[in-house]
Amino acid sequence: MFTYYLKLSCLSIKRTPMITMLMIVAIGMGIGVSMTVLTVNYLMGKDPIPSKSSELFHVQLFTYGKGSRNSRVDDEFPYQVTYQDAMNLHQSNIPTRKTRSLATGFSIIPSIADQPPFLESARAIDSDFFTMFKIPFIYGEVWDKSVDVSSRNVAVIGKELNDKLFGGENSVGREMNMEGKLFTVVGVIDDWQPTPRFYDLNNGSFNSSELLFIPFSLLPALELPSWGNNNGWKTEIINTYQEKLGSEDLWNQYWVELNNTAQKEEYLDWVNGYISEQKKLERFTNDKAGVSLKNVTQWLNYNTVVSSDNSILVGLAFMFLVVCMINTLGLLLSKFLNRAPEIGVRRALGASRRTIFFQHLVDVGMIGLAGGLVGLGLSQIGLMGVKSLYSDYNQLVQMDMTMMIGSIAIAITSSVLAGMYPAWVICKTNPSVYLKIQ
Amino acid sequence: MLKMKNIKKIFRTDLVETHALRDFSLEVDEGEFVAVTGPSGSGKTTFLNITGMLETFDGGNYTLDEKDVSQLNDNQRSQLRNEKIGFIFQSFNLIPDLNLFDNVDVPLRYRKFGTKDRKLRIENALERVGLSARMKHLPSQLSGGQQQRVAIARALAGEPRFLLADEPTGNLDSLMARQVMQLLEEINQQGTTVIMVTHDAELARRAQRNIHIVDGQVSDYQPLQPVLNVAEM
Amino acid sequence: MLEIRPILSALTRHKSSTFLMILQIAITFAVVINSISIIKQRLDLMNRDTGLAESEMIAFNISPFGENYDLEHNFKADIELLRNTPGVIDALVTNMVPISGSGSSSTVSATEDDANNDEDRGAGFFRGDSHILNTFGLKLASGRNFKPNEIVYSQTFVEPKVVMITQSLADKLYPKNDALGNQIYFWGTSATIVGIIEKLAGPWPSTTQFMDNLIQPIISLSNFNRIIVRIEKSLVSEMLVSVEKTLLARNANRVISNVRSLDEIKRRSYSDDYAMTKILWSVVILLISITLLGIIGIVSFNVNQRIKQIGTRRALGARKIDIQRYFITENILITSMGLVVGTLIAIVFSLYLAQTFSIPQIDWYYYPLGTLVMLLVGISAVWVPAQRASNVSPAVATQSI
Repeated sequence: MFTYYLKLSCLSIKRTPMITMLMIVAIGMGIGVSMTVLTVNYLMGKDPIPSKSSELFHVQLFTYGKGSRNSRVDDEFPYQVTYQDAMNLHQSNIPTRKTRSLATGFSIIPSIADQPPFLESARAIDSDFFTMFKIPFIYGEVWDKSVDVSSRNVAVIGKELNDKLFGGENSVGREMNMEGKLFTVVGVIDDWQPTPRFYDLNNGSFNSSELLFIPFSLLPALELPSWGNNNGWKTEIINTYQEKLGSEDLWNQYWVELNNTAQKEEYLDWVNGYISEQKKLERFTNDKAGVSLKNVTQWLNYNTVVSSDNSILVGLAFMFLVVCMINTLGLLLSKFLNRAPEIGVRRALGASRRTIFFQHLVDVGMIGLAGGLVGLGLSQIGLMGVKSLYSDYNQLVQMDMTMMIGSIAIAITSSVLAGMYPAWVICKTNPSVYLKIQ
Repeated sequence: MLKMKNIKKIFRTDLVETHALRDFSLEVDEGEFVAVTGPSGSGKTTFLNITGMLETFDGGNYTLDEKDVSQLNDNQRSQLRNEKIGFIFQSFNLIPDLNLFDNVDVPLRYRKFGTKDRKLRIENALERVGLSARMKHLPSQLSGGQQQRVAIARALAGEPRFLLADEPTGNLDSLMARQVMQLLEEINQQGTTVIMVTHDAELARRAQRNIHIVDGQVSDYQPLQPVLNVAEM
Repeated sequence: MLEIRPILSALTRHKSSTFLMILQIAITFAVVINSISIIKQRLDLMNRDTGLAESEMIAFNISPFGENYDLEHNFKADIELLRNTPGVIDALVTNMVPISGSGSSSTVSATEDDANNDEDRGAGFFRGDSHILNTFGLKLASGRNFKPNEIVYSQTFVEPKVVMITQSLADKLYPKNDALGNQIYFWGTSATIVGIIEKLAGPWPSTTQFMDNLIQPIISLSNFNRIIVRIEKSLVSEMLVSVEKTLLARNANRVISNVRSLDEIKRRSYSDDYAMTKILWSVVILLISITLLGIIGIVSFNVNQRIKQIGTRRALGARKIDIQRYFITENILITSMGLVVGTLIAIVFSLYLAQTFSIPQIDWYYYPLGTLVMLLVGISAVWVPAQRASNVSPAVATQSI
């Protein structure tokens, strides 16, 4: 019976090619537009590290004095921490893993003569960083834990930088000239571009990750500058790097890994204890002094990674799809009514209401399928367009299997939903109405 | 009032040339009741279309109230049709979406009568065919005979020079057919010219004059004497 | 004259398809005018007057490395080299680039008390010498530029004695219009305002303090300075290519990076807004196209369904133009009803956007303009089917099946 319906659908499409074309185009455009927007939205809000996102926590401390606050967020906590707090937090052994973090950078002077010096952004972190964020190594490994305390000029580099400086070979043990200082490569990691770049959202959510990682412990020795944000709420004289390290400037980040609730509670207690201690030193003088732990998902929401523009577009895309469906509904109504005399004859010859209903749904389903395929193609074009518009979002705009299947599913489902009313109208009218010769 | 002389109408396709009307002549005076008969394919429909100015013709002369129709453009023909001819179709041709009042209204709208004037005419016309009580009903709520009567009201409302009826009882049973014919006769007796095209010889006999078309031409065929109604005897 | 009442009456027999057309027109209208309103807002945002000679400016970073790099000497030499390049109007060593999204800001207040009472305001802190006015293309509203002896080259923290501020900041802090010559407080210290600049945009376009800026007569001897060059418009692209080579030829112990024109910096900073306008335009055009095609489809179908009726009307005396007018009138009626519903939906939608996303509401004149456009769209959609309808021969009326 189903194949018979298919055959009838094909015949009916041949008979009204224009209307069928219009419907397929309408559905196609509706799916194309909404899937483009939904894909971008989905990818933007996607958990960048689903296996661990609930166990990785970003630490915020309310170190402000009276009268200061971060007015950009509801809880008014500052986005970053001070150097002294990063150092002190690091004393706790409660977290499974922990890392301090600073966005910095260097001029790299390549050893190859005709390669000019270039700027490279870098991240100063602790050895736990790589296991915490599940970053795969292709050569070597991270520096030993002891280097996190007593610094050495070592670095882990990314595949792309390894290709550029060392032709992609195993460069473990080789040296790099970073602003006149020699660093030894201890490991090379594979391409790693978490989207969004959750571990540091201060300068944009979708920036590329760094290709150069050095020990955080190098900060005082090398006087590493911040390439990220620096916020100073307190009027302090900061002329030397030492003064900066001891100041209330907020310029570092801190992440911990806590694998269960008990551990999290224990850590919170410890941090609160730390804050009480600091209050005796006349720090944390604001009434709101305290700590806030946010896991990856919470941290992303807090930073409104999915912009309001994006949410608006999702709403518009949905309305666009609705208009396309109404359009299709109207055209379906017309197309089916056109066929009414034939249906009248079929009913007279013994077809039941259900048969007629299903015949029409198959019709609609086929149109939906065609429209979905067209829409899928159009959304690829749409995504290419989005890619060219948002220079940051290169990583973003690939449609995965889920979205593709989703597109077709939405196309067929919405078409069938739209088609139910016209199909019902047709099958419920009396066949004799259409058999009367006018 | 109506003069047709040597009318010629040819339908051409790639393969075949059909002379639907050849050398057709007819004169109708005011107050006449003319029936035009003929077998199917004889050119009756073509005659109807040409008389009603629904189609143009290829040769000959057609004047209506001294006006030469062939000189007119499409707009002028439509206007003339609207003012002078009252159409009655075999399949009634009422507009299913409109009620009876609005159906009778249609030709009046093209005439640019004022609202009050139209209302009066419509009410009178429906009264005349005995359906004023059902003014707000839809055609689908009426029987065939009633629908045809509404069509007649529509034809009359603009006070045309003549009624042009195409098989007016073709889709009706014998009882309703008789009612409609009676109505047409009444209207004719009240002074309106009627030209009726039909293939039914019985029906044709009730007209005052019969024209017979065969192969696109008037044939020499004398009608029988009209049969008297039992009641009239 | 126009048979409006009978047309409406006839439409009530086809409630479903009429309702669908009305709904489609309504939603299209609501989406279109809200989208265009947002587009206009973004375009206005991007085209704000920044007070800068945008099309003549280039910026780049200069990152020295190695020991023994004399920052002051090199800055002065670089600037002189640049200023002597043909076509260059002026050049400047500064700490931040306008509109770029990166820079430094701090809080300022008109009195010492205000600072303590949270009555202070945020302002962008520019650093430069007296060439800043000419390099940026700024105009002084009142007061004067820095004097040569007021400029300080320093590596360490310095408290400037004089500053220039923008009119926008002056209006916010000094309601009595007495900014010039007055003191301004920041960092626990204060300085005298010697000049007020008409307009100067800071680094962050999406903040309320975008046009509130302060200039200090300081050249920081730091590795993180920017150089801004103002050059004749026609020579900009050439300089973008050549400046790195030129400067490295004089001294190779630095990296010259991020060489961009201010136009490009602006495009990048506004890339989200720019993208939004492009996407919204696409949505608007596609939506109108779909509605247009849909109306054409449905009206064509309706014409086909009513061929007998059209022939009858012609037989009864309608002229071709009467038939055309009938369909166009019918379409205008449906479109108008759609626009009434659409206006309501648009208002609700606009309120929602205003409340949830702080997007300003639509200006009143969008509604009548949008209505006009939609009516034109509707009429152009119905035109061809209406033409076809008018060409139906009156002889159709006498055809039997």
